[in-house]
Amino acid sequence: MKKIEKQSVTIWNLFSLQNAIITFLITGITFFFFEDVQWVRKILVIIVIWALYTFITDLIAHHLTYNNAAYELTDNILYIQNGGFSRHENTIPLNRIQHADIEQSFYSRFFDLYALNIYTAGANHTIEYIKREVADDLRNKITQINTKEMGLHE
Amino acid sequence: MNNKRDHIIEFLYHNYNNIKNQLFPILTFIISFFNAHSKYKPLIFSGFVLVGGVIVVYSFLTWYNKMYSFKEKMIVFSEGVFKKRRNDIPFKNIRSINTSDSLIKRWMGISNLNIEMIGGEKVSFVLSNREIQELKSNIFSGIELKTRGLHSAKFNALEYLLLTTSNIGLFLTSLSIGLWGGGFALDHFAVELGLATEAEKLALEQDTTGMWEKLQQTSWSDVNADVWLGALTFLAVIVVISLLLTSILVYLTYKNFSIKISNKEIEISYGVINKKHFHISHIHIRSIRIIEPLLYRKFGYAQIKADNIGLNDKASRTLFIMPIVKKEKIPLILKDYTPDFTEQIVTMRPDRSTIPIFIFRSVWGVFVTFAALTIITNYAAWGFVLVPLWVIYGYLKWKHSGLHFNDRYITTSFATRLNKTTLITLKKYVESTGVGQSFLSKKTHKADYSFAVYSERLEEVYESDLLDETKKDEFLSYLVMDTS
Repeated sequence: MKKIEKQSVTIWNLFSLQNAIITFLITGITFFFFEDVQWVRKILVIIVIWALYTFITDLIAHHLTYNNAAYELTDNILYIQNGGFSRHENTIPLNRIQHADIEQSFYSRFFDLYALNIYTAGANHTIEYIKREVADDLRNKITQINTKEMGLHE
Repeated sequence: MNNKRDHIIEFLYHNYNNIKNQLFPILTFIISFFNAHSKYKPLIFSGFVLVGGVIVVYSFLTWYNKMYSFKEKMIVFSEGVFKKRRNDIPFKNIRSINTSDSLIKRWMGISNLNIEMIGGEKVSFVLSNREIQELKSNIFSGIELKTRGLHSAKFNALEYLLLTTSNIGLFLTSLSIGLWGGGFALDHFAVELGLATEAEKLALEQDTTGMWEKLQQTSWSDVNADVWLGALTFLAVIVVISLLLTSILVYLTYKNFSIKISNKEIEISYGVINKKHFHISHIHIRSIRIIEPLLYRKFGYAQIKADNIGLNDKASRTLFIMPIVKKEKIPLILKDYTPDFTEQIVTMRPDRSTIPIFIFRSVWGVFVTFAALTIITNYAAWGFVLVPLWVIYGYLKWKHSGLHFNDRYITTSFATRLNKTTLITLKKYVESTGVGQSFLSKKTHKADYSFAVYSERLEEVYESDLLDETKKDEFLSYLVMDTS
């Protein structure tokens, strides 16, 4: 089983921090304009509590997600393991994969890491974050095997 | 064949549909809001004449610009008013065809020919029945509709009544007709019905205040119990009338239900006024869905539906193999009409110790929402009265949850509101399998099993929660066998 890069935790944390900051900014601006309206104040308090709760659980979950995250490519299947508080294992036969692409998000650019997205006709799966050469290698292998085994549903 | 346009009736139909579905509801809403005698009447009238004119011109251009021709191996199709779209549809990309008509179209000998393609795209043409017959034989060349089995289902009164309970769409249509009829009766016959005096009726006719002004002027604390009781009685009468009306609509919708089967496809047709007609190739049936709404279960009935890989969700909703059938007849129906499928028994079920977890998962979101709303307003605390509904739903989720898999099918059963659904999917259409375990479920040797199926949607994943973990490895390697 292969592991993802350790910096993935930092990237996920940056995403969560960004969401929390945006939420606090919006609630702050709303508070500035509607400070006198009691029910608006109450809604803003609920939103802030929720945002804090989400941010803290995200930080914990990201460490667990890194510990759980692993993948393995064999001749006929791609096995992906992920999840934070719950661990999920998925088996994707390569002949079911329709296409795969490589994506680099804003924060993953700082670490030169990439996400590999895998699409079947019924669900999408992601391996994030891995090095460019690993992502390229995985994608090429998937594409090669996949091309040989077209027409499964015919 | 030369370039063709839809029959001219389609132009009138476009106008009728746009006016009925868009202009008329907006107009009635605005009139009821401002009152028919309000000072804004000339403005409203001018606005709607203008919008009506635009609809007529746009409908004509839509009809005029939609052109198509049927070549030897493809349909060449173009449409669009402001933005033109041209589409060449090879016959090999066609997944299913079906025809539908209305009473007027049937009198004129024309029908809608609906063509569903791989990917869920749909195109419709309005053609004469003779042309449609010619096209059907071209598009499905080599598939001769030799009738191997013909089944005409005649439903009894109880079955029509049960069908009525499972047609929310038709009920809402009936309810809107009922409310309109009730409003009309109150406006015109309030005196004859003993609900108002002549003087009150006259005052109402001369009243120029709209609904908005009335709501603002009402002092809700002065509205007494008699008024509330009267309003509730009126609503109850309307609901009963709507149910009766729904029964009639259901009767007209499902009468003449018949299935024909050939070696390669099944042909399903039903309806009196709007006749539905589906052709489904056996090879494109991905799953069979056996649905048991609560009342159906009490009387031992179920519905059988087919999930066709070429059909979008909207079309699939109306595609019945059998809209109502006694449960003991299901194996026979499947054997006769969907030979690739047999009835499956769900063997993996969550045990009794998981009931509290199912209920907790169902209730906690609702509980937190009401708790949060109660901070904003105390009235929201009344919402907690509804929590038992989610408790029941959680219990039903446990009761109907299950999974079974073998070398041909993967079968899952689950609860959707009060309905139980059993989904039997061919293994070749299963895209991936997965297993999830939290710290707690791992400790109790339970696991959540999930699988994704071939779908027109971006994602179609089914999950069976808290089953015994012993089949976890077998499930994860379920699809590996046929990949070698």
